[in-house]
Amino acid sequence: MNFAKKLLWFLVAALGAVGLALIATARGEPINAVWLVVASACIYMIGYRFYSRWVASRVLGLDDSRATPAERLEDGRDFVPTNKWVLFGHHFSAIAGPGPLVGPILAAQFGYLPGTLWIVLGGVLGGAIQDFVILFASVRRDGKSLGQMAKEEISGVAGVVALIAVLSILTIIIAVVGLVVVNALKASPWGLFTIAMTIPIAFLMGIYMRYIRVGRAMEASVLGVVLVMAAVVGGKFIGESHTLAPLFTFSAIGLAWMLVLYGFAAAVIPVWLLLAPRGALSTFVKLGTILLLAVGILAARPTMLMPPLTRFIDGTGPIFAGKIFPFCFITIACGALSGFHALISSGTTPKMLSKETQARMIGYGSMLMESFVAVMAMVAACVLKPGIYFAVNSPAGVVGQLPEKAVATISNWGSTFSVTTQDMSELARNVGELTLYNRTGGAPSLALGMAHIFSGSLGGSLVMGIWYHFAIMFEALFILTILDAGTRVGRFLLQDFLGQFWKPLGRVTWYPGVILTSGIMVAAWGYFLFQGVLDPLGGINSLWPLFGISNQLLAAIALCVATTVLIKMEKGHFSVVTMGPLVWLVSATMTASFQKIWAPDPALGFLAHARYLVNQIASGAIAADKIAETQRLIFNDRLDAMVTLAFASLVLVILIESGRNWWLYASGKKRVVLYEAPVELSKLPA
Amino acid sequence: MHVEQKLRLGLKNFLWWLQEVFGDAEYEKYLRRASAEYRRAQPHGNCEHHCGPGTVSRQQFYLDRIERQYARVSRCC
Repeated sequence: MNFAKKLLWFLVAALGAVGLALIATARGEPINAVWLVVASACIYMIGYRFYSRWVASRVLGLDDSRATPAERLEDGRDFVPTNKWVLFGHHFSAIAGPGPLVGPILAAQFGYLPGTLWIVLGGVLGGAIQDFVILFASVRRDGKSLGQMAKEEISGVAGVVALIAVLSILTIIIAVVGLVVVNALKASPWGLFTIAMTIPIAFLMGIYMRYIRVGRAMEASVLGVVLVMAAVVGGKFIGESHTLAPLFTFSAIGLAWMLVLYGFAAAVIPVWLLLAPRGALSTFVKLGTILLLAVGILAARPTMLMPPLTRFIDGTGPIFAGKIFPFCFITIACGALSGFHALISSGTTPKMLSKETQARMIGYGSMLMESFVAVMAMVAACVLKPGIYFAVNSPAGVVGQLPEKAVATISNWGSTFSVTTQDMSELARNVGELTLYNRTGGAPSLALGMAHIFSGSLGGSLVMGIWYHFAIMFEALFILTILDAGTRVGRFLLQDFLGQFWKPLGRVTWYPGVILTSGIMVAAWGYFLFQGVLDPLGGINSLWPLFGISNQLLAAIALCVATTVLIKMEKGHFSVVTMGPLVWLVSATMTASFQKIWAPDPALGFLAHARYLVNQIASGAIAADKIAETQRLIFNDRLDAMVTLAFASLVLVILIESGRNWWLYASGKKRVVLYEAPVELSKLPA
Repeated sequence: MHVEQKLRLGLKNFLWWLQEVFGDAEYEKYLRRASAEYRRAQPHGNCEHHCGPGTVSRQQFYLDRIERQYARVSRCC
């Protein structure tokens, strides 16, 4: 490295340090969001340039003379050597979903500092490393999946745990993101109209790509975006129409039923009609909006009104209960360290990598980009007045059903949180909503933040409603893509599993089997969705931690596989690279699991909440007509405790299995067998 | 190179990138590959209209591609 480059990197480091010092030490005086963006960008650049490079060369020993599976097994279908920038786009759009947007919004209840530090440091040292090493491991094994690698490199038990983890996370994630959509669209005719219109728009795009211009997804997406934007603008008139608005106004229960029906239909109808066009549209909108958000933040340079730390670091938060450790690290998974990414890194991406060294840019770089999206989501949440943020995100069961009660409760938390009913009414009117109270789930507050940023640099408050509903459409589109694609993948996994017991169930063309397995999958996530919808505490308090724990269960499997691979490659002395994030993650996941099950505080512990409700019934505090509903809540609490216990037990199983193997290798009692594909020299140009 | 030329080139590259990410040119790539394979196997054959028994129509190729894509985890949270 020459002097000029050294100087440049020194300046990047210095700028990052100044930014970090500013955001970490600001007390009492609001800081500009640009500092958050600058500090994060500098840390990402340094992490990418130095840490990932060291891991690539010293730890993994990436070797471009070695042919990748895309070259060796090229078939023009799955295995295709792909341009690195194109593969970066593919991989990034596959890993970036609603998670990095919603998680930081919820974690903002602690203030912006804990979440931002976790996003940036967790991303650089944990999440990006996990994605990178798993991608590398899969490339060296002909693109094998995480489950296959766990089975071969650790043990058969680990493979079974991986399959259970994948099915569990699919179920929980669909339920929780479904809940986010329901809470964003309830009593919102403008929002519901816009989202409803994306279905016929997807059909049109599907017909275009199937019959008119076959396979031209980009052209169809441009057409789709134009129509969706027309729907966003047109939704304003629907929302204001006394005749049409009631047709698009539904309660949370009604919307939950619609989602269930939609998920079932999406899993059984031809993929070309809905899933493929919606996926393309979602990718297009996602890339555009993320770019727009980055430009918007730099153009508007908004001030962060949320303090760096709030009083809720003590665990008494209204959005979800629990202290910073472990709940900040469970709440923000995607954006910092997400096990789900390991499925993508061991899915299509390793089959398309032209050269081994590109794994660094694709695996590590894409994750940093997603982490940056999470920082921007944090900015969007924290530019709102804290009182407004909490009024939107707090459930009625915590702050009160009536607006006057809600603002009084929130304002009583201190001057930082002061909010009035006028503030809330004016904001709701500006964005074309009837009310913004108790909109738990994060999507509405993210949309408000984005609308604030966009309207600050483009259009002013006059178009705030358009931007708000554009942001809601953007999030719901993401979420429905997960919901429909996830239900279908779950159906395939179930068919694969059940087909081992009765062959016809495994046939993907046998309609009764398709209907049955789709029904099971939808019933599973639908149950948790309704649980969240009916929960007086808003559902997020119970479901989001379940999602975080299941996601980190998958991350534990991925990091155990990664560590095992390093040990088998005789790189055990570098295993701290994967073992460090694993130790942190297991500490957070196990602590969170323990607290969610056994904490004595009813707001936090599932069993304590069940006991509290049992005592309420016994003391006669529950009205007779509410007893059946309360008993269902008690059952749900106990079910959630069981599910959490199951996840924590699976983490322990995978740790014990991995630890046993590591000890056997270290003591020489077990022969090391590395299941890498045979080495073949690459003929592709560098 | 003038700024205008640079911008035009940048835009062209960006559009190419978008098309590749969306897989719009996948079928053409598939045909090129099939054609190359056919030429390797039959150096004197004509691959203008027929590139061997494995070649499928554009529509079939598209349907196969999206069926495979949506049968596995292809989207994260």
